[in-house]
Amino acid sequence: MKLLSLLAAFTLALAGLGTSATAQEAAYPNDLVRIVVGSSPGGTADTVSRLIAEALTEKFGQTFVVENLPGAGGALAAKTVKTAAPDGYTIQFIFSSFSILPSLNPAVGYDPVKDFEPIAMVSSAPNLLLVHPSFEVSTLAEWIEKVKANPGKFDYGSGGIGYSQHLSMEMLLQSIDGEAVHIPYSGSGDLLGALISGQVPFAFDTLTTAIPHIESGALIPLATTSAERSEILPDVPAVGEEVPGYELTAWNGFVAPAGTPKEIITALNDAITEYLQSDEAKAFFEKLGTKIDASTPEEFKETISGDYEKFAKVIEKAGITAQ
Amino acid sequence: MDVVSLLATGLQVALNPVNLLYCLIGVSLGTAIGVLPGVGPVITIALLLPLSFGLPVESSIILLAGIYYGASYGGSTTSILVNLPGEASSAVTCIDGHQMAKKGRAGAALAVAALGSFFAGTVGTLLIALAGPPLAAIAMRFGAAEYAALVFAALLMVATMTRGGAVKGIGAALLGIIFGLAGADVMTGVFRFTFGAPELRDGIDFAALAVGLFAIAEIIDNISSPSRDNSSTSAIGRLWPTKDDFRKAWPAVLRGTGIGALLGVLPGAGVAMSSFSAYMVEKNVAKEPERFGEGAIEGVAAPESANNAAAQTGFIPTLLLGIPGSPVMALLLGAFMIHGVAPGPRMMSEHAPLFWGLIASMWIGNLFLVLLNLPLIGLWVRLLKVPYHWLYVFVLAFACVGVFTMGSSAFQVYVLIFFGLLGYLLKAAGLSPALFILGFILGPMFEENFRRAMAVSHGDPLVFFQRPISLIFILLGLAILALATTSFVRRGREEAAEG
Repeated sequence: MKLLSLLAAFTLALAGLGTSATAQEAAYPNDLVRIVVGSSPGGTADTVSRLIAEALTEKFGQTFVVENLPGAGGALAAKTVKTAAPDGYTIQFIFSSFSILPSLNPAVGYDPVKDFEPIAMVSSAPNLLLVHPSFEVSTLAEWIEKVKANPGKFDYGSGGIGYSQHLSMEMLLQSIDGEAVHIPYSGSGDLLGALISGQVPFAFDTLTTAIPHIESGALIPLATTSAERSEILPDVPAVGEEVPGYELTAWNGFVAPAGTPKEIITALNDAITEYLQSDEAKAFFEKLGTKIDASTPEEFKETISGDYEKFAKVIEKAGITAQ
Repeated sequence: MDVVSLLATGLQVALNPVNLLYCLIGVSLGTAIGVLPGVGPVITIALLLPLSFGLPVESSIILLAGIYYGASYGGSTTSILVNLPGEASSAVTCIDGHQMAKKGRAGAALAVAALGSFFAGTVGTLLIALAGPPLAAIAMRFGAAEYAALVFAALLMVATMTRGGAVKGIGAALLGIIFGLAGADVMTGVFRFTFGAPELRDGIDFAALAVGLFAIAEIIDNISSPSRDNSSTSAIGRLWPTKDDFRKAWPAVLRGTGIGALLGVLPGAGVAMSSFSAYMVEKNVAKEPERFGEGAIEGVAAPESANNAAAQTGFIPTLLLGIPGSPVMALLLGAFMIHGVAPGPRMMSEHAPLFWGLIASMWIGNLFLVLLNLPLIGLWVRLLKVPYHWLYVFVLAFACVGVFTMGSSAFQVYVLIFFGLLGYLLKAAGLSPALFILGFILGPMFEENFRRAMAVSHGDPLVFFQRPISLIFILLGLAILALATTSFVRRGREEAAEG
């Protein structure tokens, strides 16, 4: 494959030195495209990226292959993609932790804004503030009152240090000037178990995983972190209704290394957003419980840099740094 | 839903043609490696761990589990026919099984072993199905303190029960714990023992470690020890046991199943100890104990039923508490985690098709094993003639490719080589690699839950003693430690007196 593309480039160069660049771009993609994913096979991120890889393969007639590079919460993948040639043949499927990790630990070795060229956002989902029935509050206002009246007395859980469940709570506590003790669990599954059995009285968790436990009455949803109420739970208010300006969503999407030609970014964005409008994509994301959130490269850039600044502040103020 | 309808859901998963095929592949492979001495289920599962990655989670676990319980069938074949236990759990079967073979009754011995195993496997499977829901309900109420105390007791139980004594056992487990601590700390996010390598931030890759520790180390060990002579095999003779055989074997199968089922649940006791205990019990209850060692059919029926029952009930702590009691279970736990499924009390509700599918597949697998083992016995025996050096080359290549493809990174291959060498050194020093890997899994689990319990109690260590379940486990752990220490001191004194 490599040899073939080299040959192709060589022939093009011979054909006309001045026009070779445009000829090559017009032909994008003329080789296999790697989609690097910073998580293990089998997870949500992996499944979503494989789905889109398949759609892109069909659309462009070139193979888009998913390469799993798990490690360091996705930082390993970002570091690899950052140094890849910015030619459109290496892109990355990222998720919200992409703009959180560098603030947690500068040693991760990438800048989420400067080192990458956003392609398109794919989907997003809010977190929910969930409480155990024994905590005896039924609205966000009551919760705020109870937490503020007892600084440092209550615990809250998360899926791990710097996870969006953790930062959602830190952000809320900082906005209401409250205090609670953070108990990190290992992953969302662990957290839910602790929450359901009442070992921690409250926590944020993703809407998708929480739904069955809300329906069974094991957990009470107080508020959603998205700017507006979720269509799935229209009765649950947004945190922002009580705490103006509060907003946070977990998202995912595609980026390329900085310096990737604009034409390639546009071609990929067009193909991805086109696919996301298909019935197949709609059915898939509905099953997953997340909202399709296709965006332009510019909009995605704003989301990434907005999150990067927002979380850097929260993390600094809360004193969460890993070294 | 009641157990019956849940089992029906499970049967649907297990009878899915693809899963049925993986179950068959698993048990066939299990039988094959059970027959081959020196290649055990641990190596095989470790080797297939990276490969099973690409399969759906149900298929991959059904395959790996099939290898595990299949091996305990295969192990008995060589014990009886060649006096060569393919697995440690079948070692005791050699005593009477091979004597029977020498008297031309190999067929009857094999049949009793297979039928006893099938019966025990069925009972074991039923036990998991029945004990599952109530046990999970209890475990659901376990908090961090209970888990920390449980792991504490389990780890001590495993470490002190090992061959070679408690000190070496605990030593190997402690070493494993140290390696288990590498990576980002759950409570603070700080990187520990990563030496600046980003590949180590999530901890040492489990598959690379397991394959290195078991497959690579085993090869080095086998090559450095002299080769065995596998040429003398007995004739099989008439396959179906006589009425008298059945009459004698039946109670032994029942007792063996009971002992195996009980010991299988205890962490550390494991299949080998269950078959040995069952044999001892048979010898003690027998009217004519002198028949043992001369080809008593009870001496085959009891241990073979016991090891299979234990193989089955060993799934209970792993699946329901998320705490593996043996290295194979640690590997299976790793396989679940690789697929993003965390075994534990919530597994039954959150992954119901997977849980019940696995249970149902175990029963189907046991049925396959009877069919595979009785008519095809000649084929398995011929497997013993495969030259080992061929096998080793294959295993080595397989190990490297498998580990590399998991993360597409050469780094994991270095990890593999490192643990291959370490595994060999551990064995040379008389430290059990199996305990090392249990320490690797259980140690971080203990630390995490200990610190979480401390955080929840806002720094009050009394939390471990105020909660009754936690207190019971701590007392249990201390009792085990005291028992092990006194016997160690006594042995030391005896040695000193003799010296």
